[in-house]
Amino acid sequence: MEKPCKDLVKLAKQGDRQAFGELYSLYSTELYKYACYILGSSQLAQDAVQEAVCCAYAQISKLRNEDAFKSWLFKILSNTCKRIISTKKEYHLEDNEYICDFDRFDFEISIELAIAMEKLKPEERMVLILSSVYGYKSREISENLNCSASTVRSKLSRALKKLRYELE
Amino acid sequence: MRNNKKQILEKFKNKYNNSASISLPQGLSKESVVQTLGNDTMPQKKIESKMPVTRKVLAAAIAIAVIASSAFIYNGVNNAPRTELPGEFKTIESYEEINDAIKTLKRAQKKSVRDILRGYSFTKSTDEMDLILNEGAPQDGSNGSASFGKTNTQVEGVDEADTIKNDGKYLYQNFYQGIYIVSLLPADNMKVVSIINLYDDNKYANEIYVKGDRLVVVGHVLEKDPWLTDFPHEDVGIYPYYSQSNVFVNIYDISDKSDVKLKTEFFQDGTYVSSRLIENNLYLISQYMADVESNKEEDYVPSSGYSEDVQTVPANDIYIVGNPDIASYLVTSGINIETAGKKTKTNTKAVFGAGGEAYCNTESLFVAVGRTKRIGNITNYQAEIYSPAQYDYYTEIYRFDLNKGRIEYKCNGKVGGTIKNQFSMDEYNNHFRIATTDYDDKGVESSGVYILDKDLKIVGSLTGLAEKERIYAVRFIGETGYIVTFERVDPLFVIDLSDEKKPKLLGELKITGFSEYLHPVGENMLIGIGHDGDEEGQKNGIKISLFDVSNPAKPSEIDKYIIDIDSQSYYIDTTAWYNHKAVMVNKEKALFGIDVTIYDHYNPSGPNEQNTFRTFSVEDNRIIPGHAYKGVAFSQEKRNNSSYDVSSSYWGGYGTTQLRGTYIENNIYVISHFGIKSYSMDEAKKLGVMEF
Repeated sequence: MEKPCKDLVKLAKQGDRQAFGELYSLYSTELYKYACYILGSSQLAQDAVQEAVCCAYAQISKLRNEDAFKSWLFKILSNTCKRIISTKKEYHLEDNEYICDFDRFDFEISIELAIAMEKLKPEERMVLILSSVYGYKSREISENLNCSASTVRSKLSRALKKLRYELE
Repeated sequence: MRNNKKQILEKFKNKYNNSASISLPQGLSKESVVQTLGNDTMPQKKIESKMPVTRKVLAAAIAIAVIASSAFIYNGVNNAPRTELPGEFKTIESYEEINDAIKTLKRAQKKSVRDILRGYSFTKSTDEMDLILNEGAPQDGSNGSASFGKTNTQVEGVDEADTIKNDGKYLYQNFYQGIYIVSLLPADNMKVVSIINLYDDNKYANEIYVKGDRLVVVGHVLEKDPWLTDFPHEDVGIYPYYSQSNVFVNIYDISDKSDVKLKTEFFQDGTYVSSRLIENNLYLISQYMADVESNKEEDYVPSSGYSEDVQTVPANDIYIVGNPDIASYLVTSGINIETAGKKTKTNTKAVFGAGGEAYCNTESLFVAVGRTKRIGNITNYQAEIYSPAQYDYYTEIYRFDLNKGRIEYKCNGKVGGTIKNQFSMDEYNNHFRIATTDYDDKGVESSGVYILDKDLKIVGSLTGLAEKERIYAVRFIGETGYIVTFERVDPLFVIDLSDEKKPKLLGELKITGFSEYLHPVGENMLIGIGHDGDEEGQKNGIKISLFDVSNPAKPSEIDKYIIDIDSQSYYIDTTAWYNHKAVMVNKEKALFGIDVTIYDHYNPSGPNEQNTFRTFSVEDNRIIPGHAYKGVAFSQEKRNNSSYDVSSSYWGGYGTTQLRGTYIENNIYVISHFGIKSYSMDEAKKLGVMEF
């Protein structure tokens, strides 16, 4: 990560809201897009990002390694998404708030990618994006998602198998 | 198949990156988010989680273990010249002074955010995410003059905490929320004799010590962040909702291994930095961030004490150094592990404005903290912001005297550049030596050694070594310093430090690859554990080098041993690169051991991970490869069957599949979180297996 971010992280750590806002805006689009792809719904994605950002702001003074700010944000967001995924079914039954499911794709996405994403479970999408787009190693993803590295590798393996004929 | 997978990954990446950009909804705009944060309320949600609470706590703990590490503190914008020494220190008369210092700090910070934001134009990062996984808690190793493996420490007589300890009969292993005591003899019948449970107290062990009849556990207590009391974090499976707010020390009486008794509990505010054990005296270092928004003493003054008697550190034990530029304390306590009890007087000293890496010998504790300061006013942000030349990098050093468990803060000093780890520091003949990497006006890296006197004033220096390269390993041995730097080929520098005022470069060696850790072998040789490389730079394998330094003017690499496999799709790793305590050392036999992990991502039959513990020895100026020992491997099946207790809590996480090794006489023990295997050292014959 670049130096200026590091400076801002340091300021944000002292409780500077404006500095935190600047930092957030650097990654806001990336975070939102990531959440959209994982959750398949712009509404859920918006909730996830909001919640993750609040959590990050509340906890930033505990972030010791300023260089890892971006990955730390993604980590919090990934876990927020995971939680939403795990609770989503309940929402569906008990509450009409989220009637959309993970494959509604109410955001701009190419048909090809949408079809490909539909084939994957949300966790598989997570592993796939973190590994291919952000170049994480499976060990790092396992830290990020709080599961074992071998689980990550098998998820990725399964995702790639499913996508074999989808991306041309 | 392999190429297929790579192609799919590549294709997906392109499509994802090139897909139509999704416009950010209004509710996620910067302004809107900043406003939400300003309301100091969390968005309330009806959240129900099926995850059991215990599991969440563990998730939080693991997350925090990953985040916590490295103390690099920012100073804000400041035009102070680098030669200026930090101000005089004094103890404070009352907490008011700290409060005033915090107010001054806050004003300065308000100003610096304006300076930073003025004219800022960010370019979005396209870099790959740089997730730095710091293994907060180091692990085992051994340094044997006796016939069993001891922790590989930097200074003789100064023990360092580790995740495993071996006392010649028993193994003590940290499982994070529990400590297992295992009898290692006879090697074909190993048994768990006792389990210490920390889980019920919500305590998390970082590292342990074993000394005589005492087992000392150093760790942290997780507490809910009061900031988030309105948020339903009990029901939320995400972290970090717990803050690591307290360091604890549990001292156990282990005279009866099957009936371990808790003798004393000690608490100290802040995150754990390091600790050392000298004879019966434990020295504990933590870094405490003051809550600058609070007016309550207990929020901006650190506390410490035994069991229920935890109190704020008295004002006359708090030092302020010059004009502090960060609202953080370095907190140190001395604890006698034999005699400490509820009535013991707390011995804690705190320095306001510090934190960092620790070097400790039997008499003194040095804590170094790396800092950056922007120099000059920056007019063209876009062009210059990335240049290291815009920053002044320096290291502040704080010296404490240690005397039978008592700590006295003595003085502080400053040198240019930043250090790599504790091995970058050393004290010899009343002089403190430190090796740093610095940047010149143009941002070009170079390395140097500084020699400081008892008052931490620089008396001699040798700078400008290895232009464009960074320090990877340092070892000071008596009057000689050895430094490894790296860009493309690896110079090993040998420096004569016998004249404190005039350190001299004696010789250098250029070879491929580079070392991360240097360990002396006999009088005239060094072992370097590092990365393989060629003329182009770094390669994938692990390289062990044997250096002959008998002629300091002409150091030479007399042998090397490369651990590598013949495949395109693997990734090789050893904990020894990051943690000196992961190196097993048997001094008498000149035998070494390191863990080796090979990840094969694109294996046709599915990705796999192989862990082995490999030994090698030094004989007749050669490295003799030993054996590759296997440990007890992780099994998903067992994990599923296991009840959720202290041993299974951490299964499968990072740091649990890596192997550690230790020995007793001629037995080698290979340890993982899933069990212990014992082998005979000579022919690598398997003697016994014990699964947890």
